Amino acid sequence: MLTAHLIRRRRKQITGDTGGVDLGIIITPMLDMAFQLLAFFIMTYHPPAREAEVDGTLKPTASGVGKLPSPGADPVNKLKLRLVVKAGPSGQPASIALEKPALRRVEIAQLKPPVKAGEPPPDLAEALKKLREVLDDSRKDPEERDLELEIDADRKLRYGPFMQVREVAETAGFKKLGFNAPR
Amino acid sequence: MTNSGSDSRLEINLTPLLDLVLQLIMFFMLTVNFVRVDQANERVDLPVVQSAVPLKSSGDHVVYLNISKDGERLAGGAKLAGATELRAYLRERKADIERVAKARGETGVQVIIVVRAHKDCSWGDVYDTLDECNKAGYQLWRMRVIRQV
Repeated sequence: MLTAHLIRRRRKQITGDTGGVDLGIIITPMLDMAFQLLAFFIMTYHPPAREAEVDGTLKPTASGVGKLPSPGADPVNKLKLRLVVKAGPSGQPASIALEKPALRRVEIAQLKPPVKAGEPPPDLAEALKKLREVLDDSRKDPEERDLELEIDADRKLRYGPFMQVREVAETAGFKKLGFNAPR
Repeated sequence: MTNSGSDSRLEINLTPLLDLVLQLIMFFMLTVNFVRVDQANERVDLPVVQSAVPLKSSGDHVVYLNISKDGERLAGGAKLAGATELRAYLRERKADIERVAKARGETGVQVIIVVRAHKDCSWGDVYDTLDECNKAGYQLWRMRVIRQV
């Protein structure tokens, strides 16, 4: 109180103000609240993730309920291209092959084991590139271009590499892309 | 700054400080993005692909499901143990959404399941989850990924 009084007296001496109401706005609580709000928003700030989506549908049956293929439903390739992806002990892809009608098989890649646990095989990018080339050749073949492409992956294959293989298969341009139940 | 003989006083000018603080607050208020725990679970690292499509508007007819690295199914932060519990949850959510849509007078509603699976979980776990979604009556699914720029 005394300090405020001294400040007011000093202010009158400087400005020559002889009277009137002195409105001293106390900034402290306002600043305090502003900092609290700032801290709240900083802590809740969440940069937008670069998430995207891959769409899919389930095959409808006569009853109207979708149905996923059961294991071994189509052991013999009739009119389909089957992309077979085998997994190694760590779950990373170990081999990729393409099975064509009439029991033809194209070995695309035998992958090296990962250098470190949890990492993909060092030659995975190269294998996917070769897979893309093989699929492009199939697309150019008039007997194969309209076939359905199925992915037949091992159960223990890691989901990340599976999606990378799926991406290559999807961008190859086949009309229908599906996947078999893993064994 | 006041000068009173030999006694100099420094007064801190709070105006620019307050101005900047309020500007920062405005910035964070505009960019705040409260994400629901079932839509973005930090336990799930999504796989990276290049050709995925951007997110569509979420809408109301979507059910989110997360799959952790160990193959655990997580819904709304809670773990769903076993296929039975998962199927019950999926059916319940689907029924809820359809009930609400019917009350609004909407017809032909298709409930979409959005699966956010960890990149290191097994494909078998993801397939089993989709199988359960299928048994629960879902026909449309979306797999979330990170799009590589």
